[in-house]
Amino acid sequence: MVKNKLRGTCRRVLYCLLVVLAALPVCSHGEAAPVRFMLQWSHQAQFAGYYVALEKGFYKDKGLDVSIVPGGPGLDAADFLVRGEVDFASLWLSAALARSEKDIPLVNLAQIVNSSNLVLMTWKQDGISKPADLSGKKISVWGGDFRAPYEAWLQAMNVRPEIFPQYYSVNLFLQHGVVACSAMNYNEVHMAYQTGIDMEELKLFFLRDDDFGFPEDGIYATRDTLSKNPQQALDFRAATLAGWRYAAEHPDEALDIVMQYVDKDNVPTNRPHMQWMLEKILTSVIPGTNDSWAFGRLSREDYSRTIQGMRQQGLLQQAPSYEDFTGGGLGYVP
Amino acid sequence: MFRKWSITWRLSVSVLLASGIVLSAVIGYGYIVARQILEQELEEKAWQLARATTARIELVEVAVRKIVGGMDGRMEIQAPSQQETIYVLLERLVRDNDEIYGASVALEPGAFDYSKTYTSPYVFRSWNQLVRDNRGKNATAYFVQDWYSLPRYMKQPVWSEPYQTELRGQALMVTYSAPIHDSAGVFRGVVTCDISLDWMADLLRSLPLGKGGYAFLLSKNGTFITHPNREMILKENIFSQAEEQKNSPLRALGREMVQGRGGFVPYGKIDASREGWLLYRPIQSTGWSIGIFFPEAELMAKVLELSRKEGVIGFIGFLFLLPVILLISRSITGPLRKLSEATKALSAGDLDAPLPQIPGQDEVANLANSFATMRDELKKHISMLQDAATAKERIESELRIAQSIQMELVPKTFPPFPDRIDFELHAMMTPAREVGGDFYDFMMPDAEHLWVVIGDVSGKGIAAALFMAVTRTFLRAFVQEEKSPGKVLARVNNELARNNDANMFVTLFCGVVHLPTGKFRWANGGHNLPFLTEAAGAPEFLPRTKGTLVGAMEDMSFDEAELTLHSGDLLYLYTDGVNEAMDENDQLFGNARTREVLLTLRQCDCISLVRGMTHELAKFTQNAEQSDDITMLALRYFGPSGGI
Repeated sequence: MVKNKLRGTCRRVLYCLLVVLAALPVCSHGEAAPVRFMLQWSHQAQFAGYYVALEKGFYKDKGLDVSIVPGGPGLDAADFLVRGEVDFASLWLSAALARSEKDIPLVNLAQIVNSSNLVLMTWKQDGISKPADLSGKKISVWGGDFRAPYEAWLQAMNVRPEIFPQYYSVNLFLQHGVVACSAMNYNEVHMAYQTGIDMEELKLFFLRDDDFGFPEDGIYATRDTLSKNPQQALDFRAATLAGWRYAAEHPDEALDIVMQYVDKDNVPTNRPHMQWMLEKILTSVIPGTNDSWAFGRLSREDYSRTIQGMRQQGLLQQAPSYEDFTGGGLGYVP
Repeated sequence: MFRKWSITWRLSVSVLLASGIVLSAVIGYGYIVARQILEQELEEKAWQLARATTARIELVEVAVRKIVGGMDGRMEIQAPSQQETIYVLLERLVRDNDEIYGASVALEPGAFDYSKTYTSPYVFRSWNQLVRDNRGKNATAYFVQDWYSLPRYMKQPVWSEPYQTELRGQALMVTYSAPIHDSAGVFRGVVTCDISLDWMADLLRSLPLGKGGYAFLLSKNGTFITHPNREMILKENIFSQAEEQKNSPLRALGREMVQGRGGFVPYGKIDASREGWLLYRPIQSTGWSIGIFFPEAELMAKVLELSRKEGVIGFIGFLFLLPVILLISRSITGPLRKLSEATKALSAGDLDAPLPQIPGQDEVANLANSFATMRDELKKHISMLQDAATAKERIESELRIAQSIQMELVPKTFPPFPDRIDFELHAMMTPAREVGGDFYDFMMPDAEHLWVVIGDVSGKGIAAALFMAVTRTFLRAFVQEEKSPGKVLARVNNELARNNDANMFVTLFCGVVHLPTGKFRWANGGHNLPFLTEAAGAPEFLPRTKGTLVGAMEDMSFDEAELTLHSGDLLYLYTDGVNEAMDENDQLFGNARTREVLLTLRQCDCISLVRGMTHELAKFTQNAEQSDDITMLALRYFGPSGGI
C-alpha cells in the first residue's frame, strides 16, 4: 500500500518535473546542475568512461556539472548513495541487490560491466591445473560482495579448500602463503605480472567460463533521487555511455585521461598497469561479436541468474522485479 | 711504389709506422687492462657498498627481531593484564632504534583478558617525543592490513611492501611485523615496527657513487623502495618500467632481482641509453634487492684520460723521433748520394774527380774507402794499359819495319826479265802476321845462267829478317864467283856459321839453269824438295841430294844433282808455308794435295799457277790464321828458242 502510494506521488512529481524541464530546456544547459557521482574504488582505468565523459564535456553538453568522487578502503559508495550524499554511484550488481534489500531500493540506470572479470589466480608450480587440485589447499578470497561468486563456483566445482580472508593486496598469494587467490582479470592478474611473475607461471580460472560470472559495475541511484529528477538520470546515463564508447574508440586518449586522475590523487599505480586495465575493462563493457549481452544494458537473463546465484548462497531473500530494479515506470528505457 | 721512395722516406715511414703500431698496441693493452682492473675494483667496491648497505638494513631487522622475540616471550609468561607493560616495551624499542618510527602490538580480539575487542597499543615519534596511541580504538580494523594478516597466515615475520603514510608528511614506511603465538600455538596478534625509509634513501644517496651513479632498492614485488627519481617510488616498479619501455631484458633483470639472485652486469645491454654496470644483490632478511648503477662514462673517464695522455706523450715522442730518424738516414744517404754523384763523374771518365771524405768506420765509410781503392786501382790499371799499348805499338812498328825489310829484300818486279823468251818465272811471298824468315831470289850473273833460290830462316822477327838479309847478300855475292850451287851453299854455310852466336840457321834450295841447254843443277840445304812437272808428265819431287841446314856448322859439303829441263818443264819451289798450311781443324795441306793442285794447273803460266795455288791454299785454310810465311816460286823452261 505504502509502496503504491509512494509510486503515485512519484509519478505526479515526475510529470511536474517533466513539464518544467520541457518548458526550460535552455535553462538546464545554461546553468549546469551539480551532480555527484561516486566510484566504488579509487581512481583507475576501471572507470575510464566516466572520466572521458567528464573531460570530453559529454556531461556538460547535457547540462550536468558532474564531480566524480573516488571510493576506496573504508569508503563504500553504497553508504554514500543510501545516505544521499551522492546522486549516483557505481556499484556491483550483487552489492546493489543486497543494499536494495537491506536499506532502500536502488535502481540500475545502466549496466556498464556486463562480463565478469572474476578470476581465481593460482600457482602452476603448486600443482594447480584444474579446480579439483584446489581441494584441501589454502586459498584466499575477498569478502563482502565478491565472495559469493567464488563460493558458488567452488561449490559447483565440488572442491573444499581452506579459505583465508583476502583484503586489499595479493601479497599473501605472491609470497606463497596461499596457492590461489581471488583476482580481477583487469587488476590483480596484471599486478602479479608487474611483480615479475610471468603469465606462464599462473593458471587462471575465469568464473564466467563456468557461468559463475555475474554482471559487475553498474550505475545506481536511489529510487527517490530518480523519481525526483528522471531526466537528469537519463542524461547522466546517456553521457556516461557516450564516454565509454569514446574511450573504446580512442583508448590512447582515454588512457591519458585516466592517468590525469591517477596522478592527481597520487594513486600508487603506473601507466602500463592502467593500460592493461583499460584494455580488459573495455572488453567487458563493449560487447564483442560473440557476446550475448548489449552495451550498457542489464539483461533479464543475467539479472535472474544473479538473483538465483545469490539466493543459493543465502545472500538474498527477496529481490525486486527486473522492471522495478531497472527503473521501470521512471522513464528508464532499457 | 714503396721501392720508389728514397731510403730516408722509407726509413722514416717504416720506423714511425712500426713504433706507431707498438705504441697503439701498448695503449690499447693498457686501456683493456686498466678497464678490467677498474671493472674488478668496481665490482669489489659495489659488493662492499651493497654489503655495507645490506648490513645496516639487516641491523635494524635484527634489533626488531630481538625486541619482538623478547616480547613474544613476555606475552607468553606474563599475559600482561596491563597495557602499561606493553607501552613501556614499545617505548624502549622506539627510543633505542633511530630508524624505527613507531612500534605497536596488535592483538586478536579476546587474545588476553583486557582485549575483548581490537586493541593495538602504538608508540610513535612526534617532535622528539614518544606518543602513545591505541590504534585499535579506530574500528577500521587492522586485521585487513598486510602487516597483520600476512604474519598471521604465514606464521612468520614479514616485511610489508613499502607504503606512504599520512603521518610525517607523506613519509615512506615499511613495516616489519612478527606474529605472536601463545603456548598452544594459537595466533594472538602481531608486533610491528614502522621503519621510515627516508634514512635508507639517505643512506643510498650518500653512497660514494660519483656523478651519474645511483643506487636503488627493490621490494619483493619489484617496487622501487628508494630511487633517485622520487616519482618512481611506489608507483613504478622495475616491471612496469620494463613493460612501458617494452624492454624484456629489464624484465629479466627484475626477475633475477626479486628472485633473490645477485650479479654484476653491463647495463648497456639492458638500456642502451645508460652505458654502465649494474650490481645487484639480495637483502636476504627483507627479501629486497639492492641495485647499484655505475655509469661507464665516469668510470672510463680516468682510463680514457690515461690513454689520451699516453697518446699525447707518444705523439711528442714521434716529434722527437722524426728528426732523429731523418738525421740517421741523412748520415747514411748523404755520403751515398755524394758517392753516387762522384761515380757519375767517374763513369764519365773523370778519374780525378774528388771522392767524398767519409769519416768513421761504418759500412758507408768502408764503402767510400773501397770506392777510393777501386778508383786508384782503376787508374793504375789504366796507366798500365797505356804503357802496354805503347810497348805494343813499338813492337808493332818494329815488326812493320822488319816486314818491310823482308819484303824489300825479295825481288818483286814481274816479269823479272821481260826480254827473255826462253823461260818464264813468277814468285810470291805472303808473310804471316809475325815477320818470318822466308825468302826467294833469282838472278842471272850472265846471259846463260839463271839462278833460283828459296829459303826459310829459323825463328821469326827482326833477327830472322836480318839473318835472311845476310844470307841473301852472301848468296848474291857467291853466285857471281862460283858456278856450282853446291859450292855456293858451302860458302854461304861457312860465312853464316862463323860468328853465329844466335845459333840461327836457314834451309836453302839453290839451283841454276843453263838456259841454252836446259841443264839444271842444284844443291839442297835441308829445304823441301821442289816439284818438277815435265811438260808431258805429272809433278814429281826432284831427286834428293845430301845437304844439311845452312849456317848451323862450318865446313859442311852440299851434294849436287843435275838433270836437263825440256821445253815446257816446270819447276815449283816452295817453303813449308805451303805444304804445312793448316785448316781450322789443324789438317795439313800436305804434299799430295800440293801435287794434285800442280797437276791441275800444269798448263797454266807461272802467274796463274802461283795465284791458283794461293787460291787453293786460301780455300783450304778458310778462316784459320796463317801460321807461317807462304813463299813459292814457279819457273817454266821453254828451251833456247822459247819453245817455238
